[in-house]
Amino acid sequence: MAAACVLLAGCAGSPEDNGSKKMLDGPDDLHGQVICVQTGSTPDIMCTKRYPDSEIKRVEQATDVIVMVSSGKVDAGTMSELVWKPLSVNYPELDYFQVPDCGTDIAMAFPKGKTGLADEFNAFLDTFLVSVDFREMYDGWMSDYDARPMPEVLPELCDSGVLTVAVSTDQPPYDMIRGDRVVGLEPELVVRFAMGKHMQVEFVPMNFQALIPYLVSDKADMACSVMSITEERSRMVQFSKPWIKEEIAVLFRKERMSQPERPEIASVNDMPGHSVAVMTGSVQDLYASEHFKGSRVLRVSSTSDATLAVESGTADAAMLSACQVPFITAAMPDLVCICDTMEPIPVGVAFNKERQDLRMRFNAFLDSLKNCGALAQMIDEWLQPGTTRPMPVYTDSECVNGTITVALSSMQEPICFVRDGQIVGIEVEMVTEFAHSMGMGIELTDMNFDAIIPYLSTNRADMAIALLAITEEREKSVDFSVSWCYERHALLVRKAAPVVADGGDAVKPGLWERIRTSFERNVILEQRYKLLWQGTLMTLMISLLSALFGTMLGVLLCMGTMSRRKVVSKPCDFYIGFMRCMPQVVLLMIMFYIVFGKSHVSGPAVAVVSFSMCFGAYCSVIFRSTLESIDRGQREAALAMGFTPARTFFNFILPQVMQRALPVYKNEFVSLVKATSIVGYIAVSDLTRAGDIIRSRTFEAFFPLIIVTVIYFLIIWLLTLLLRYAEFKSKPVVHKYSKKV
Amino acid sequence: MIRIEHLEKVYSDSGLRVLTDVNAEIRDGEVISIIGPSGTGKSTFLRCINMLEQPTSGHIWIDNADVTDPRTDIAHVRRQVGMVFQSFNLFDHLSVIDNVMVGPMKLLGMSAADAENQARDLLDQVGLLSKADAFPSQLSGGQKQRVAIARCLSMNPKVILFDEPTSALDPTMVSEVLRVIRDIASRGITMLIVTHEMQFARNVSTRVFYMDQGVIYEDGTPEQIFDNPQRERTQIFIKRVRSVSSHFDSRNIDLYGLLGDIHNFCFRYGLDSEMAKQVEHVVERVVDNCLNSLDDKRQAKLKACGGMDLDVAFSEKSGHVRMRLLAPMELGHILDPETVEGQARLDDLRSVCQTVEQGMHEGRLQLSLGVNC
Repeated sequence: MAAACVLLAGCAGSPEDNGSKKMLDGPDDLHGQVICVQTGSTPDIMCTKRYPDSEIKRVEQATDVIVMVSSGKVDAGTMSELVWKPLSVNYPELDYFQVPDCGTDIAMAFPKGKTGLADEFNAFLDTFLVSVDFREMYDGWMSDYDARPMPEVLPELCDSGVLTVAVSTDQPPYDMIRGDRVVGLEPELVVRFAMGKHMQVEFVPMNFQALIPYLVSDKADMACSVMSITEERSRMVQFSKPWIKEEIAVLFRKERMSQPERPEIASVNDMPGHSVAVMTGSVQDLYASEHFKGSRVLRVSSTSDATLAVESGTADAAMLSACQVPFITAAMPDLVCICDTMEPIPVGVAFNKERQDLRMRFNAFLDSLKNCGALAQMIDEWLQPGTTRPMPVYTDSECVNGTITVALSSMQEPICFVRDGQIVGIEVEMVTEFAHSMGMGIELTDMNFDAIIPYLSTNRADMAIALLAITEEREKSVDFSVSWCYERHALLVRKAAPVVADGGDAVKPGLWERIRTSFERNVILEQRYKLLWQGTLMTLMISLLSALFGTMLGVLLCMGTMSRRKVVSKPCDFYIGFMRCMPQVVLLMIMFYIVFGKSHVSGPAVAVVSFSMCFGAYCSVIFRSTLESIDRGQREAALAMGFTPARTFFNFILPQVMQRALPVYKNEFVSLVKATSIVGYIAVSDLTRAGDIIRSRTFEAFFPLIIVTVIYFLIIWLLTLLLRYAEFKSKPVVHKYSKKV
Repeated sequence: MIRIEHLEKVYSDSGLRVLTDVNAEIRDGEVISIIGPSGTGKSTFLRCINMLEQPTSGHIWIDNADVTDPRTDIAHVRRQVGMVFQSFNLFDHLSVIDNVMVGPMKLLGMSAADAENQARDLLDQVGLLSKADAFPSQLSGGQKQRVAIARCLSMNPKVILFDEPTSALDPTMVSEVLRVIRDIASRGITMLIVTHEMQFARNVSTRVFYMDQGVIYEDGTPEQIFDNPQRERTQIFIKRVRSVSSHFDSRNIDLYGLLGDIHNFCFRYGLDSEMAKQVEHVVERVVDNCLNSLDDKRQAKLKACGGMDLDVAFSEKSGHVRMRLLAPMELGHILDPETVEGQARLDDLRSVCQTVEQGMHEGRLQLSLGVNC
């Protein structure tokens, strides 16, 4: 019951929870809303006239308007900006805007008969409003009205009678009650005026609506209540000169306002609160997580994904290594690097902890490279976008002392990247030269960035390069050489305004032209189709071998689970249940890093093994359920006719199993082909990864992904066509043995 | 031709000793019906002959080959011993004609043309040549069983084992299958037929095995077994009234299911349709008068005390159908003749039966009704 009450109260009290409510960004948005006003006030008149289609809720006090808006009972409230401003500090949840063209003049009201008093007041205003005293008084009341004292009036000096002033006291700081006294900006104004006339002032507090009738019946000499001059009121009373201009403020809860435009990110200091894309496991990832409080950190698997995230607006900024920036901005003119001023971090080559010897030699080699100036030249040349610096080529005969295995991530121009189907870059050249200096060859293994350290620490490679920043965390698992350069973080953001090409719209290429250019860039240039082709072959090979071995395993498992001996059937059942619960990518990683961690089984082989294991489990279930759906009687009939058990199976059972299992098997096979796209996790370059590598060079998301999609579609389509043929062949035919007559 | 010595079969999983000591000798051309109560191992005996069941001990010789000997090429022996199953067991993925061709082609090395000619001939004999190109799933039960017989004949066997060939059939299809079997019997093929069709067994067989208690309890000519059984259990079985019974816990019974059972029962024991109709009618009246009239209190009592049983029994000898409704003592009476209503209901039953009696039977209330043919 209590809970229900809270729930109801919650519903009633917070209609702003309703996300479908209209945003209130300007005066025009007030149409059709529920607006709260103070009865008879200027905003009341204004709203009734301007927003006939809105529901006007009238309350007695100006402060009630605020309460109504704050509690969400109404969409908006209108009130004098003069009244609102000093109160606004108490209501952080509210915001307001001015209604243009409805400012009114605020003046004191006098009964029609008191023209003399009104004239005297006007004369007082003329001098007082321009004085320093007025400014000081205004500021005093506006800043902290509770502390502002009223001028002390000595009764003995005020011997010229009493000035009776009607006042509505709910409009701090203009008119209010403090203790038992009427105080405020207007009362002070009146008191100062009265002091000049040596008069005492008697304030008569009342409701706003009562003021005019009070004056008309001559009960008071004047009235002050932030009263605006209107025609209607002018007929009843006379006004002094205006002493201030009043604007109407529209109040609303802050969530009813559209989010303001995202402010420009101009420096690292602007970053907190903005989303940032980083490469998983990179130093930028670490930095962003630590320093950008309240930022959403988007972890992606390559630099190109990070930049694409910024370009597409998924992230506000991308944080990456400064040395890559020129290559990215050259490909993506909409992005701009805003800063690279953060503290530099040393970059080194990582070594397997067991290859201390190699690390010592590399350090010596690096020193010599530094001393002769070759390193500086190497860096200079590689840093030119579009560089054609050739890689050193050594023949096998020079590699007499064995091979060094190097792990890398080829998505980081200019450190290590794919050019013309070959992995090149500063660090690649460096390790090639290093290996040559020792008379050794190198073997490069390309993988995702976040896989490099585990790969190295599980002893699968001797060293690793990929612009690896030297961090404490990483030094726990691997050893680093001395640093060969310092990397700085850079922030990439979208340019504020779109770049307008010279000559305007005329130069914007057509759709066909753009497709052609993209095709050229992503497929033809640097013979990138070779990458796609090799990737396709790898995907095909892994899929087909896994399907083959998986099917065989499935048959064995199927026989195992159907075995009458529990020692055989129970483990098989357990295996199948276990495989079903295991995400394939987790299995793949466990197989690669743990099961085959120490043995040097190649990535594709591990992939085939793990996918076979999964596929076998799925297949065995399919086979078993179809086998069981064929009734035992047919087997007995064949045996009774004189067929041996084996011939019975192949002549009668298998054809029916095929016919029933193939449609399900086909689905499972399609899933397998698609599932192979995760092999990038264990450094196998399949079709998906080929697409990733191309994206890392061209910084284009659309085209490589579409091409990869199309190739997957074709592969699966062709393979299912084959299976469909098998399915067609297994369909029962009327004249299998007999002739058609 | 077939010699069986001390055949014993114990099911290893349940420990049930189905056959204890079966001995028999079957000569060429004999047609043997195997009858007996359910669960006495008739089917198991048949399935042991072609080794679909592995005997626990004992020997079976078929044409001097000991099939129980592991060294015997059982597949080869089976080619001469055809089998027709209760559930037909046609090869679902082959058409009717291919079902009849596959054996000779794959096992006897017959050419496709010869096999096809023979298959068409056999299908013609069982009257299904027009269905040659159909698949088994498109056939009725009787048609399936006739194809199965044709398939069995295609191997040109010396012996055919029939394992309750009509039990799975609708009553309307039994006769077409029996007629085909009768035809084959007249050709001199050795046949062993496990069956519940007493009339058929009597007419078609040259010898009858009465099986009971895991042995061939009595063995003789049909005349001897059916008209003049020598041993006690055979006599009880032959003279035994055949009955169908059902149990009710409440008023809500599956009346149509019950009437269906009664109909099948009448058909099986050769009651003419007039008589069957009358029996069904009486059952309907009994249910209406004795069950549907229960008030809630009696209904609850009935449920608590174990419900009612209805037996419908037919005696072949006398041609009587006797119905018996048994109810718990706690109910007090089935129909109370003291009340006007009870009397009226009894009169209603009397109007359709020859005899209506209320009494006691083995500690339960009994209402028995008799209908004469």
